Amino acid sequence: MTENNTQAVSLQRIVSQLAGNDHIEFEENCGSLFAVVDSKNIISLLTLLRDTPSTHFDMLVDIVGIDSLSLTPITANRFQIVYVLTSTDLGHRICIKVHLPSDTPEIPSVSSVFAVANWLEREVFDQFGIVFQGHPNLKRLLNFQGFAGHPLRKDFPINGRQAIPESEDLLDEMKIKLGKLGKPIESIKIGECGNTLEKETSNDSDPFIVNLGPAHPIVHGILRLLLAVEGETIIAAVPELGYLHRGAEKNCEAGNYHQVIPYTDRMNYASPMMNNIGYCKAVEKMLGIIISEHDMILRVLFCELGRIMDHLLCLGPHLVDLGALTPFWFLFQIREKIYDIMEKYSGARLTYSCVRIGSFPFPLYEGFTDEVESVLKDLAGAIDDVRRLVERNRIFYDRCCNVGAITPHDAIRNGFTGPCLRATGLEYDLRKNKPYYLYETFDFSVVVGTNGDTYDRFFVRVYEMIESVKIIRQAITRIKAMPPDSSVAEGAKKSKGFKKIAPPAGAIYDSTEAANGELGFFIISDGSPKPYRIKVRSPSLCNYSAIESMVEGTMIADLVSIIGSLNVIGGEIDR
Amino acid sequence: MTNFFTHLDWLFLGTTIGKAVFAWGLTLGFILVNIFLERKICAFIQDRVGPNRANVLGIRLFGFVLNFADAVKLLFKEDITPPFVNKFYYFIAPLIIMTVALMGMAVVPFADDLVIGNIVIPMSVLDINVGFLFILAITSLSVYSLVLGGFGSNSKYPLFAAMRSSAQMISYEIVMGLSLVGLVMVFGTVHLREMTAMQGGLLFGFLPKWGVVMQPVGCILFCIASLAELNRTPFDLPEGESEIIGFHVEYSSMKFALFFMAEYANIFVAAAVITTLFFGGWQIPWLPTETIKENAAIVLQITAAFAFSGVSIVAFLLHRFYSKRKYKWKDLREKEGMLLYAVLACIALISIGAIVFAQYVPFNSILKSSLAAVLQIGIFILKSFLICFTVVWIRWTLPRLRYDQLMALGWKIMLPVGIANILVTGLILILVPGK
Amino acid sequence: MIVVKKQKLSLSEKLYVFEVAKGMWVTIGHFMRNLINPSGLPTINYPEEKRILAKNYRGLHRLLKKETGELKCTACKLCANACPARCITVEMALTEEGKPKKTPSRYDIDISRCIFCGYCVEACPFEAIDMSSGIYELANGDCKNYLYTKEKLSSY
Repeated sequence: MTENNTQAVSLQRIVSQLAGNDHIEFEENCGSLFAVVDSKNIISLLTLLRDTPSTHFDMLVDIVGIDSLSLTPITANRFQIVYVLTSTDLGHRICIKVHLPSDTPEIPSVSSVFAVANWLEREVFDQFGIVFQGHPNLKRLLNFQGFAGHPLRKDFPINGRQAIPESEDLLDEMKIKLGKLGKPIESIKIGECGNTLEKETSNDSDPFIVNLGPAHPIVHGILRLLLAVEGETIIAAVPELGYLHRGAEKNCEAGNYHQVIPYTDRMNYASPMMNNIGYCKAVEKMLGIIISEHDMILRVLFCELGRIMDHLLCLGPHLVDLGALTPFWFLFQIREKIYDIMEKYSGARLTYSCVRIGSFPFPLYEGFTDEVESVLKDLAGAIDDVRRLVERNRIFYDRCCNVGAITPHDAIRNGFTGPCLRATGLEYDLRKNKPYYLYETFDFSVVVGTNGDTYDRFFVRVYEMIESVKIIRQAITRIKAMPPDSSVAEGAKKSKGFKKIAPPAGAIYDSTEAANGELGFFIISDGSPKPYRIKVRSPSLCNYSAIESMVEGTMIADLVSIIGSLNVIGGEIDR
Repeated sequence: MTNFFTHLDWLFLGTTIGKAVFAWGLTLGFILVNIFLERKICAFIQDRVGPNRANVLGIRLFGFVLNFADAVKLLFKEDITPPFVNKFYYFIAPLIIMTVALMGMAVVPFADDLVIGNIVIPMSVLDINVGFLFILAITSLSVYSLVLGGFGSNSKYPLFAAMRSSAQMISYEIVMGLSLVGLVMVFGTVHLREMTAMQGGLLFGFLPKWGVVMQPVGCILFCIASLAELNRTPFDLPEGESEIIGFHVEYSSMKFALFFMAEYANIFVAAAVITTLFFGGWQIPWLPTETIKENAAIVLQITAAFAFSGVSIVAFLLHRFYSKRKYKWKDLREKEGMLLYAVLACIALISIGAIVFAQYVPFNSILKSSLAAVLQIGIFILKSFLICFTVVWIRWTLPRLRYDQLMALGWKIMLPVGIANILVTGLILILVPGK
Repeated sequence: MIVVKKQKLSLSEKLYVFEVAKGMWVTIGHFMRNLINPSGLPTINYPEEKRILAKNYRGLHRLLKKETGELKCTACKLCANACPARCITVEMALTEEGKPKKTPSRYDIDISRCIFCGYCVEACPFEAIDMSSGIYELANGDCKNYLYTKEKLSSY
């Protein structure tokens, strides 16, 4: 704690020095440092923080919009925006808070400083109606274009859902893109059901406009890309999100802190346990609860099992996208076996909801460790089979090498985290850089790639599974060595029934290394038992944010491979 | 009119119709076999059980019966013609591919000439001297089906597929032709009957003089090119279901079924052609037709012994499966085991009977010739079956190539190798005398 | 730190054929193993064969009864409050004088809304509701059938 404090103090000093004449107020809450700044010079401040070597906040983790309508004390500045910045090499984190007036919530866009801000700002605009001046394409991101109102504003009713009258053609964005390429097409018109049709008199050299998705075999979840292709080569791509948008963040505000846990299950449905744990960890930090060592190790164990499940879900379908169906089955068999274990423990196969704030609801069942052991053994066999099938196979090698490569610099600017960032060669893993849950006491290595292409992303995941197996084995040994009286059973008894939880008023950003990257929860409490605002920093959204630049210039078959290897989970992107 | 009929060779007409029916029956039968293989092999490779439910009076035959259920389903399904298609091209495409698939078998010989008395019946539907050139010509037509199907659908994804397939099939046809040039140089003929007959010889006294031995590189090239012509993984770009879904997206019901069946018919035709060109056709290694005829009794006994041991292995596996099974069907399917055992027992009895029969009954020449023909047809079907198996097996092992990589493989690797193969073959033929 | 190395393919690997053969060796291994021992496959032949459910599997809810045959439920509404999907409706029965009787007059669960999180079971201080019925085959043609009333919930 003291170490954190000194770090925070020195950071405060540096930041206020950088800001110069501008007055900056600092707040600290549960280890998160907040700096309140003026909205006018946000661009220069963020650029300064990014480029100064002593701060080097090179990654914009998240932009959180807040509507403080019913947050006491009431001020004239109804809206707030929080920029969560982190430094990948220095390891510190800061939240820059900006107050915006109620009547004209406007702020300069920082999308020129951080590429990922493009989508994050669109999301804030969508949900709160905050206008970002100078944003290249300020459209709604998750809700449909004709949506009336801004759902996450506090005066928007929770049951205010609206029917989508028609799908969007996305041609406005496509026309701009093609115009920039010097290939404007005027001949495109819109047909029935939003399909694009070309006039019969269209020019032969006009690009071919084709919709990929929302229902297409490669889009795991539901995504849509409007492509302009010449032959097989994609010259322009326009993504559209929001097909799985369920307003989870709005829903979270309606229940109490316990009732958020089932919602987190449904975000990244490939590894629900990690979401449960990430959320509970953030709330525990707010409440100042420190869980027992046994629980910590158990959480590590479940996290790593979740990581294996998630990576299996990524690798199998990725190979299916490449046309190899068989490895998918080898990998999914193992996933089923992990499901079986999780079902035995939690009672459900997919949506576990099986972590409670401060504890676990159930004790481990008899024979849990043996079953995990046997699954790990099967996993090794399956990985081996799959590697023999594809690793040195030239078809696979050619399909993946140098496809969708991204430089570390671009990856950071686009907010990449997790395996996708590590594949570029950058050693950034929250388990090592900001250890939580005794991760520092486990012996494991961070896996990095070389040039961030599909092949690297694939094998970073493969090797990470092997590292996870190592961690799980250590965790099992440690759990076995623990005296049985410190087991979860006691915690389970204690958590029978739901205690009222009301964290002290304040805000916190806390993150864990989920399978896809940094899974963050930004929680604001107003002191009541209901969370005032929960913002989920979804790794998939940021990992997907560079998709346009990654696919343009590649072929359709490469697009398939790139989307597969990014492991975009629709439920997590759209929330 | 009378003139025409009197001059008609009735024997020729009769045997040709008979052979044509046999060849078509074989091709159509192999559609079922190939679909069955596809389903069951992929299931077992992927650690699944595959089809095991569809049954007629409890008979499932390990999922073979599902084919009939499929056929019935596809026949009775609503035949939707999308409003935007170009009707003529759209309708003609499935017809072309099925016709082409059924024509391929016309020139493939499936046994040695049947000699009954002084009548010689060549055992291929058409005994024409252009041989495999006919096959190359016919199969190259199938690209029209894919292109017309994709183009006629007037939809974007099928158009991608049409574009891909036209480029792919035309490029690989060149390789396919080139890979056979070496074979022609070695055997000195394009006539499939003569080519197969020559493959009965021995090289160095022990190695069967099969095409694969004489032309290993040509064989590999031809097999790869055939896979590409068949649109099978790793060359299934026109169907690449995870990328562009395929050229037959807009088809439904029986029109789709024709595409589907033609794919599997084509697999058999390709397997038959590969067998004929490179794996000795109907030739049983080290067992020429004369030897069979001379030692008919022993050959029959050995065949029967093989059949008997095969039956016992199958029975053993069945027994193991049934004794370990953890669930029970609650209908006639539970009785299927008895039927299978009965069939196996019948085959076992017949093979024992054949052994006894061969011991005590003298063979006349008709019996000898028909024994040889039956054995040769059997071995031809077995070889084709194994190649079909391999084609399916490859599909469930490999990922798919990308469009440009496919072209690079065809033009930059296979074409030069094919030309080099011709040169090397020519050099060897010149340098090594008497070969 | 482990670095994923991209080794250049060797000549034999570049020729496709040998690596393809290696891959085919793996798949034929699986094929032969399953051909010889098909009963070792992990497939469960549902519905003839059913999975053995875990002890705490969260299936369909049921209301438990006391030994006297009355419902254990006291209509305290803790379950309804804990439910994240808000699918439980509880109303307390009243005696003739209008005083609360500690038993529900109405206990409805809208199963089509239920997310099977098990919070109701965890919240209940009297262990009056549990999800260990092991029923998970809930497909139904009519939405109305998904409204499980008190009688329905205590009947199995």
